[in-house]
Amino acid sequence: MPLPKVVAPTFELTLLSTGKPVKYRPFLVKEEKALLIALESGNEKDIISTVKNVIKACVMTRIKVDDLPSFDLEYLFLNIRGKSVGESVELLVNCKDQEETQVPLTIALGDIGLDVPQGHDKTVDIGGGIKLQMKYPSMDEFLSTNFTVTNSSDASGVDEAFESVAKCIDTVYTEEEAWSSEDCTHKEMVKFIEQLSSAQFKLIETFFATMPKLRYEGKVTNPNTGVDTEVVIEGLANFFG
Amino acid sequence: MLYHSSIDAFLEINFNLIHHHKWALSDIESMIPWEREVYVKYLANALEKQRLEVQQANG
Repeated sequence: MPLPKVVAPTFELTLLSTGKPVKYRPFLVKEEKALLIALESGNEKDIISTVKNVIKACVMTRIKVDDLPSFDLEYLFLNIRGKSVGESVELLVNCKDQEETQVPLTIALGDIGLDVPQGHDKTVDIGGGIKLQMKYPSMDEFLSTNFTVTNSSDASGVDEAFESVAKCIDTVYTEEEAWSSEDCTHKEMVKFIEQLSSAQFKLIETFFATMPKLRYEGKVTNPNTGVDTEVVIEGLANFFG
Repeated sequence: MLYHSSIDAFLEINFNLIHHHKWALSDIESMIPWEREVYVKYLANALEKQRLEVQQANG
């Protein structure tokens, strides 16, 4: 006898990085429980891994959730959350002039946009006629880089930075030739990175520093003093409040 | 971000629905979170109506 299927409405959105449509369903009460448990742990890694598991369960289109860039994952989750809980997020904001005063702020999910910093380009021109076509790091790569490279002068930290950058190079090309990362070994790619000058490496770093992210900008007014406080929220953990 | 700020508040509602109103946990957990909130609101309204009716009947 086949197992019963959960019947839930399905919705569609377009992924920001690829422009591909993705079908999804809202998360269920049991999945909300898993999210609450992760949230109470306060550990960003646990929160993200649970969010990823929930996204995997809710996405009906066959995509590799693990390979999605962080901003796609956040965008996907915000939309799933919108259909599961509601189209707005309520947060308490501390006023800058009176730290102890908290003002409730309601953010409509539609007001949370993708911020692409000026100068961001997936193509990096490192000079000498060589250009790199970059690809966005997955959430896992993004996390491991952010959680392990704590000291850039540390030798192992630099190695890990090279490893991470090598994973994000899609194609190296000149006017005449192109080398796809699929045709090279990871070791070859790391060796290529190692021979770059620090100025060239900085150009690659700009790609990572200016990566798109979900961002909300607004302001709240302190009811006691009338002073405005600017509110900038970035990243999934912060939208969790 | 979610309906509840703590797992405690979340579980307390589930407990009340199971213990006092004989709902099945599997049914509750298969609902969409906003759907459960709507049912809880209806239930609260029905209980309030019942309470007022009892109050009126008792003068």
